[in-house]
Amino acid sequence: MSAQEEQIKYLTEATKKVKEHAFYMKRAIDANDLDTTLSLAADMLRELKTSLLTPRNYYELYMSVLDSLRHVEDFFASLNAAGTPVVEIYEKVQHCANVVPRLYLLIAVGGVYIKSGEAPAKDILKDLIEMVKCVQYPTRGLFLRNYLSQTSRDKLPDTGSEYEGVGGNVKDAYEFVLQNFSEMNRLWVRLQHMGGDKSTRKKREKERQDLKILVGTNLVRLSQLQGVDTDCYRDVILPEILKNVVECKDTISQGYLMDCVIQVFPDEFHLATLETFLTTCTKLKEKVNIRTILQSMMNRLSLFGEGEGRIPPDLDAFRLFNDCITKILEERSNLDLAEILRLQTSLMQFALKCYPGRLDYVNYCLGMCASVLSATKSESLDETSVAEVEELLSIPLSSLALQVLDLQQYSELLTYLPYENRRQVATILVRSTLFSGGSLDSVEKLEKLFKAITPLIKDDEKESSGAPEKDEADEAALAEFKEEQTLVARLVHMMKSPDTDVQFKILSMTRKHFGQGGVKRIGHTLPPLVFAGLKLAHKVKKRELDAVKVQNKLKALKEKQEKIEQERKERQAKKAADPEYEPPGPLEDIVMPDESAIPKPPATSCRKVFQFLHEIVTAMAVSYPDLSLKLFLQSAVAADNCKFKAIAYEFMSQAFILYEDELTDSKAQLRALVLMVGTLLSCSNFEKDDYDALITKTTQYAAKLLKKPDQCRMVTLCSHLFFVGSAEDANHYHDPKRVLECLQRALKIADGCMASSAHVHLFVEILNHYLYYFELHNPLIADKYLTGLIALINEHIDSMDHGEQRTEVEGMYRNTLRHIARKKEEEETKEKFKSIVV
Amino acid sequence: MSHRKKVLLKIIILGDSGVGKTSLMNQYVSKRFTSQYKATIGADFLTKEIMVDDKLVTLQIWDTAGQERFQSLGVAFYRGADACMLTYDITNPKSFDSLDSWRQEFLVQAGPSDEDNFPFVVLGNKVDKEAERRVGKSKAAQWCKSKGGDAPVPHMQTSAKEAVQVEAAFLEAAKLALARDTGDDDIFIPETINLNNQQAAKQNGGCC
Repeated sequence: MSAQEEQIKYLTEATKKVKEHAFYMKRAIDANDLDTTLSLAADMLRELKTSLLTPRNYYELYMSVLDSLRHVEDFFASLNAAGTPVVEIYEKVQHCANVVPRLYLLIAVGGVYIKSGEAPAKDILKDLIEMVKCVQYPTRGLFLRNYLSQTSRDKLPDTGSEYEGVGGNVKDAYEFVLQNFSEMNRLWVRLQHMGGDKSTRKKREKERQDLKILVGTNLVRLSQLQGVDTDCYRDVILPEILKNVVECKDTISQGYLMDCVIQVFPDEFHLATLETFLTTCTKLKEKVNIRTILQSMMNRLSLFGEGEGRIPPDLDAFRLFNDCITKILEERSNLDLAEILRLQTSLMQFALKCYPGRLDYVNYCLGMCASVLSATKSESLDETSVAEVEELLSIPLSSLALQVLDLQQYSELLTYLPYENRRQVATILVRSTLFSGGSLDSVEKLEKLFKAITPLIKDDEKESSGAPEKDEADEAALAEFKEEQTLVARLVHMMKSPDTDVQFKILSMTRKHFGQGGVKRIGHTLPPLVFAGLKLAHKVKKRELDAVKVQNKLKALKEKQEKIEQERKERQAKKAADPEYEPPGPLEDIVMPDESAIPKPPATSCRKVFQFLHEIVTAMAVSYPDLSLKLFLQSAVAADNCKFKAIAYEFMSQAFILYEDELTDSKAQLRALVLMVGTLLSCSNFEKDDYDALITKTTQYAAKLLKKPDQCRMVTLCSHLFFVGSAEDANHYHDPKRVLECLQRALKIADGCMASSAHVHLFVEILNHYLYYFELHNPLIADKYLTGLIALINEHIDSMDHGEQRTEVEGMYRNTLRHIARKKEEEETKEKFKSIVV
Repeated sequence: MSHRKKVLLKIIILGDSGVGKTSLMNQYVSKRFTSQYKATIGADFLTKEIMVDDKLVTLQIWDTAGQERFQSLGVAFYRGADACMLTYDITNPKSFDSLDSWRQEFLVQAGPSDEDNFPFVVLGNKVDKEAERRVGKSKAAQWCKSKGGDAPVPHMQTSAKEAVQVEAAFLEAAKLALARDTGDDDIFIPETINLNNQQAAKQNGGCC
């Protein structure tokens, strides 16, 4: 039979016996037969003498005995109500031969005795607590005393209780509980030393862990006493508890009871006694985990601090905890590094919660860790310590975000972490920075930030690279990398200094850092930098224009001043020559604005910003041609907006070079071409020759596309480059002949698409472009072309196979014809459209 | 079945740490309340005599530790319970989510005969903090409906602090327990007449 089966067997047998005795006992109660009741109750209680059961099973048995014992208590009470003095029963019970049953019965009667008021509560309690000393076997003694504690719970002469006064006072109440606590702790500790060979030690420890709540319950009782106020707790209760804790010299007991004290007594009590409590912590056995005790106390107080309560300002809780930790570190040489770090981490967490403004506290904790780490001789940290340092550095981020970089010790501690862990901390740092929503408005701030997040910005020289190799194809790692780089990229949006010169410095410096990131990172990090640069260019331009305006005004003002001065001199001369001379009127006084009030032109010119953009995009061009082409085009539009013709042209040429050298995929080419046409149409300041060159080149690209339909459509699109705005608009580029050439070329290409029967669709599309130019009065797009094209479409559309393709073309064509029909009717266009034959 | 004059009902209060189990009991038994948080260790009871429909009933109310580490001896005290009060804090959704596991654990450990109709009462405590409410009444009501057997589990909104619905809640539990009275009491039934008087002779660990 296994030990467990044996236990079940013992328990079942014992429980069955208890039930059996209880059954007959209840009959005796019904018969109002005290003697038989007592004898049967004793039989039942005798089951509790067993030493075969584990604590948990003993507890089960104890519970079922107590369930029945309740009827005996009731019986005693009813006898008393019917006139029997309790003292008589109290005497009678003492004749019971066995100690354990006798004491249980005595306690049962004792409860009724106190309730009856026949004797003062304190006397009966004293009597009972003296008598239970007989049982010295730990498990039995603990349960017996638990029964005493339970039974006396509502009969203590506590302040405000009905037993106060004659029955005693709160002092009697807490002395009773404290004595019971002290004795129970002693029994509990003693269990450890019973049959003490090493093999049973573990078993004993397990039993003790199970039994602990019986001891702890006494502390709950103390905390429930109404008469125990803060003073009483500080002066009597806590010192007495702690005396027991220290003197028992037992690891399990010390750890458990300290935890209980923290949990069962209210916050106000702890605040009043923190120093005493912490001093005791330093006196505990070496194997007691003081960290968890301190942590638990700090957690409790910080919850209190966060909630309705406040830690009193005159209580320097941080110092007290710190003193305690310092003392422990001094005295316990066996603490391992990770544990020391954990202690400091929890102190820091406490400071963050309870003293949110005190960055010096946080810095202090970090500093302590740094000095401990620097004192360790070993080359690298063990895994647990690394995890602890990572935790230590991550915790303040959620509340402090970038402020951590102002903490001297923070960056130093980072250096103790291996690359991987630094990367983790860096990710959290970036996240909290983004979440905090502040702005990155100085170079110094950013330098610090970039230093702290170096593992996200570039590969480590020694260790593995942060960017996963493509051929590794570890999707998870790749996704993580992407996410990280996106976070870093988002930082750019927080870089906003109101001063364009500072902003430029920030962006330049950021580029320097991002530039070291390698090919994989720059694809993520440089594009936002380009857009930040474009935004800046716009601002600088405005500043330059403003400065010019102010200068012009100043110049005008100066000229006026000089004129007036001249006039004054002339008048003086006249006056000198002719004293009779009367000046025609007073002269105006020109006040020049204060030097310092005149807005300065930016130190960094707009031109320089574009140069900067050029460098960035060029740097990524080979690795990301598609993306860079777009960025070049975007920059070209911006440069054109700022009226930098040559720069805009340069950006366009760079885009073209990329198109020619790097773009091989036909779809990418098509996409790029559409963008190029769009860009050229958005620009309005090119020199005519430059523009000619650019659009000619674009059209050539269009004609060289791989697929015919693409060629056709793009050539059609390119025609627009030659005819911007309506024919009357003289400011725009107009070359009607080239438009016609483009469209005719397109038709020719479309004609070559007959095999795929895409040609009809293309015809209709081209017809729409013809119409567009016709309406804009392009002189070369004549009605005859339209009439001819319509006839051509009519002819081809009939030969199309029925199906989706045909339905689509017909729909589009129908709409086009409808448009023409409407134009034919409208008053203003009637004349122009009448010659078109549909 | 019971031929005793007095009726004794065992009521267990369960719920997460900090929902106010001890406060509810103290308010009910001693009309006292404190906002200080004091953890409970283990489980013990207070008794209160009340009249239910002209019947004198002794309620044995078991207050329990919400934190598992303070329940090291197990939950043998669940056995023989006549009703169970499942308590949550209306400002703490997690405490409401835990009701399921409290109920399940109770049914497994107490093992009552008719699980579906065992008398549970659900208490949403701390209605004095209505402004901070984070558990909707309808959500709780729905849960009570889903867990009820023949009728939904009674659901009361209480405040131990302001003595709102506390009396009513315990009375409800007492009434349900009385109405049930299945005699779950697994009473000892002598099988045979005991001929050979075999006293437990093996237990001779001395008298102490």
